[in-house]
Amino acid sequence: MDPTGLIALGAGIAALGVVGGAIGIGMIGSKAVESVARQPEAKGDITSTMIISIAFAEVTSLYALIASILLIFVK
Amino acid sequence: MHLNAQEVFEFTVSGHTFIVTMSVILQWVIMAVIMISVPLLTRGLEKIPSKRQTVIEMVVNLFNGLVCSNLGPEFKKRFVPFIGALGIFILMMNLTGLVGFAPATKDINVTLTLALISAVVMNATAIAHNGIGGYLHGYFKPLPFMFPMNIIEKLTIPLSLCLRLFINMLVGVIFMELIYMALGYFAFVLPVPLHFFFDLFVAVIQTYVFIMLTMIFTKTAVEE
Repeated sequence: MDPTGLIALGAGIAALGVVGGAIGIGMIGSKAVESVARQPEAKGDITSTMIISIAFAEVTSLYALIASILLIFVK
Repeated sequence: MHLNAQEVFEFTVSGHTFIVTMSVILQWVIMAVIMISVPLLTRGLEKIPSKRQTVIEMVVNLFNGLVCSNLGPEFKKRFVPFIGALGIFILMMNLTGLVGFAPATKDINVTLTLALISAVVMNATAIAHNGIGGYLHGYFKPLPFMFPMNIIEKLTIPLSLCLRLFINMLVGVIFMELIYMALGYFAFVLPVPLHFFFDLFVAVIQTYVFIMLTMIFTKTAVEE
C-alpha cells in the first residue's frame, strides 16, 4: 500500500500542535498591551520581556512543526 | 526541494574525507567580510566622532546596554565582545536570504554549533564565578533528589536554543520556495512583503532572541 496519503494526513494532524503556541502568544501580546496602556513609561522593558516570553511560547509550537516537516521530508 | 546540506566540494587529509557544504562556505565569506570590515571601519577614531564613527558607537552602545541591563555591569568587560560577535555573526547569517542564498542558519549543524558555544560559555562562567564546588552544588538545589531534573534542564537549554533558530529559518526557506513554486512565472509583487517578513523581521527577531536567551541563561546559571 502506498503510504503517501497517510503521511500527508499525519503531517497535517501533527501541525495542529501549533494551536497551543498561537494561543500562548496571543495571551502574552494582550497582557503586554494592557501593561503598556497602564504604564506607558515602562514600554521598553515590557517589550523585551514580551519578546522573550514569546520565544518560550513559540518553541513549543515549533516542536509540533518540526514533527510535521520531518514526516513530509524524511522518507 | 532538497533540505539536506548542499555539498559543494570535498577534500581528503590523511585518509579523512571532509565535505564542505554551502553553509560552511557562507560562513567563511561572512567571517572574511567581518574581518576585513572591522579594521577598515575602526580606523582613525577621534574625540569628535565622524558620521561613520557615530554609527559604530551606536552599535557598540547597543550591546553595552543589553549586557549591562541583563547581566550586570561586572560582566561588561568579558561579555560585550562575545555577545557582540555572536549577534553580528548570527544576524549576517540570517540575512543572506536577501542576497539570494538560503540562510546559513537553516542548516542544523550551524545552529547546533552556536548553541553548544553558548552552553559552554554559560557553564564556564558559572564555574568561574562560583567555583567548581558551588557549581556542582547548584545541581542539588533546591532539594537533592532534583538532581536528574537539573541535568535534563542543562541539556535542554542548548537543544531549545538550537532548534528555535533552526526551525524559524527553515520555515522561512520552505515557505518562500512553496510561494515561488505556486506562482511560477508570475512571481513579481506578492513575494516582496513575504521576503520582508521571513528574511528581515524573523531574522532580526531571532538574532535578538538568541543573544537575549544566552544572557538570561548565563545569569540564571551564575545565580544558581
